[in-house]
Amino acid sequence: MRNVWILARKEYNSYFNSPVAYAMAAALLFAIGVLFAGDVLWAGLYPEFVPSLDRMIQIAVAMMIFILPALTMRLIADESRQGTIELLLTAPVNDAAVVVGKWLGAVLFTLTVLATTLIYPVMLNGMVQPGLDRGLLFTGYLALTLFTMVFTALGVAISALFDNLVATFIATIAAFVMLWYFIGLPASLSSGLLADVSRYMSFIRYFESMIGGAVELTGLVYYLSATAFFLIFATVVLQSRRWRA
Amino acid sequence: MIQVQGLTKDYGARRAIEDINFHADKGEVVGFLGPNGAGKTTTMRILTGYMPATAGTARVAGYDVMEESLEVRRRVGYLPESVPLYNDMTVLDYLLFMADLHEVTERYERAEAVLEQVQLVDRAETLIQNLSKGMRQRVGLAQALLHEPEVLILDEPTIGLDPAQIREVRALIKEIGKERTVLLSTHILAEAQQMCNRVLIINNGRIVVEDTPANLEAALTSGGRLTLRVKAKAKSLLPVLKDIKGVTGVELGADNELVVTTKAGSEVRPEIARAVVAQNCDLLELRQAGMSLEDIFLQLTASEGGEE
Ligand SMILES: Nc1ncnc2c1ncn2[C@@H]1O[C@H](COP(=O)(O)OP(=O)(O)OP(=O)(O)O)[C@@H](O)[C@H]1O
Ligand SMILES: [Mg+2]
Repeated sequence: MRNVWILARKEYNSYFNSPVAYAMAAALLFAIGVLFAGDVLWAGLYPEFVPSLDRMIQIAVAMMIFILPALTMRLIADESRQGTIELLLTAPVNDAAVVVGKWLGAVLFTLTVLATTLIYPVMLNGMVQPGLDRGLLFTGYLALTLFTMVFTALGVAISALFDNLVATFIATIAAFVMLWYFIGLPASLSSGLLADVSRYMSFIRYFESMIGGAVELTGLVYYLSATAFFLIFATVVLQSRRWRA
Repeated sequence: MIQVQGLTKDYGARRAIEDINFHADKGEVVGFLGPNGAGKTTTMRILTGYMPATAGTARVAGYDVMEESLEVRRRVGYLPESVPLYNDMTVLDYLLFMADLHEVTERYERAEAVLEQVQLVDRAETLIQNLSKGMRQRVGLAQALLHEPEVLILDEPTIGLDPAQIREVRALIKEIGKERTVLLSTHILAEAQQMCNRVLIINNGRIVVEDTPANLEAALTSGGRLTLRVKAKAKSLLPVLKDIKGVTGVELGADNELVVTTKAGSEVRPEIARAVVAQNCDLLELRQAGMSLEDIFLQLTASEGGEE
């Protein structure tokens, strides 16, 4: 645990030294900001239009599908490329701690960036009557947090598979898009067992009910176990590096 | 402190090291000497727990490197060959981070102490990416010393240093070696002679010679030794062999064996073979004892010349 925290802290700090991370944060804030400004403008023109939070969160998550890979790609792949992985793998730290530490550092950084987007709901709060629904605000950001946890874990695993940043980036985006948009497709196209399985495995479905205010226990369990699964997978990949080395 | 038995490592189909056996004790500096691709780095990576061996066992500081890897890693200071460092950190932050991972309690004091040892105190706040090659090397060395490990494994510790720094670092390693165990690798025979109590020469993945630097030097300067065995009448060959150019001495051993000493660098085997046949003795064996050492050193010095 101690080591997890040491590694997470280092990872978190190094994001603040990297221009890429700032660019990503800026992109996220900008996209949401544009949407927000548009909504405010629209609401000014058509008083019956009420700006809502869930559109903002949907924009945020769509952006994250492409932004998170840029944050997670370097986690292990860059250490392999630079050779610093040799320092970590010969330090008295087990492989799982390396994986979880890096994951935690990236999650905390992403949550820090997401926290800055809270400025929009706060502004929105002053514009709508009788103020924003606190419950929706909470479940919306809970959904974003869970999303970050799962997809960062997957990002770490993919980062452990490659030595090349571009390959890692592309593979991670591909995996994210598959997992986010395609897993739930059979559920909407057909019925039967496949559709049922696909509905249960659909990250986006639980996400949407969460930002609608309904937190399902199955959804929570599913997100948390997927996170654990990807972290274990990443650890196995890292361990297999030793054999491939 | 380090005990290695039958260590073998295959990379896919390629065998990098084969049946490596050696030991290093407390208060000893052991040098790994060998040409490029000999298997020095491979052996060290196994000893530091970076990767598993294909066969064989190794114990470091009393623990098995595969079964009790974390215990080994706690007690080993390692300078990897490529000196990997986090470029986006300052020297001090990097050392503090590594000290944390090694559970060093007084990390500021230790970081300062090792920076003192490698003479980089004034660079503590410099970003690692802005350091020169030799400075990076010394940061790597400082990192290896940080947690006062019982065993130090240093892969080419002096490469890329200027002459003054080479002298400092050699003195430092020698000093550390008095109370700890140091295993270092080098291409440079002179370096091994200066720093090491014992030298292991490794070539093509096998240890070919193990000796003290003094004995090695003696073997080198005295030229080569040949052993030959004939079926009978070995004694009758004595005068004939002595007359061959390049032969400095012939001794009769037991079992119709003869030990021929030769001048360094002379090739006398064809002549000897002809002489034996001319005397109607059946040649059973003609083996080079000391000369292969020289061959290895030739390879070594050749690679050294291309480097610096
Ligand atoms: N990761 C790897 N994959 C495949 N083969 C490797 C790998 N690392 C080393 N080898 C091979 O193993 C052999 C030994 O390499 P090693 O790096 O141990 O040599 P070395 O003695 O350290 O050489 P040098 O003096 O050049 O550092 C070489 O033939 C090398 O090509
Ligand atoms: Mg090497």
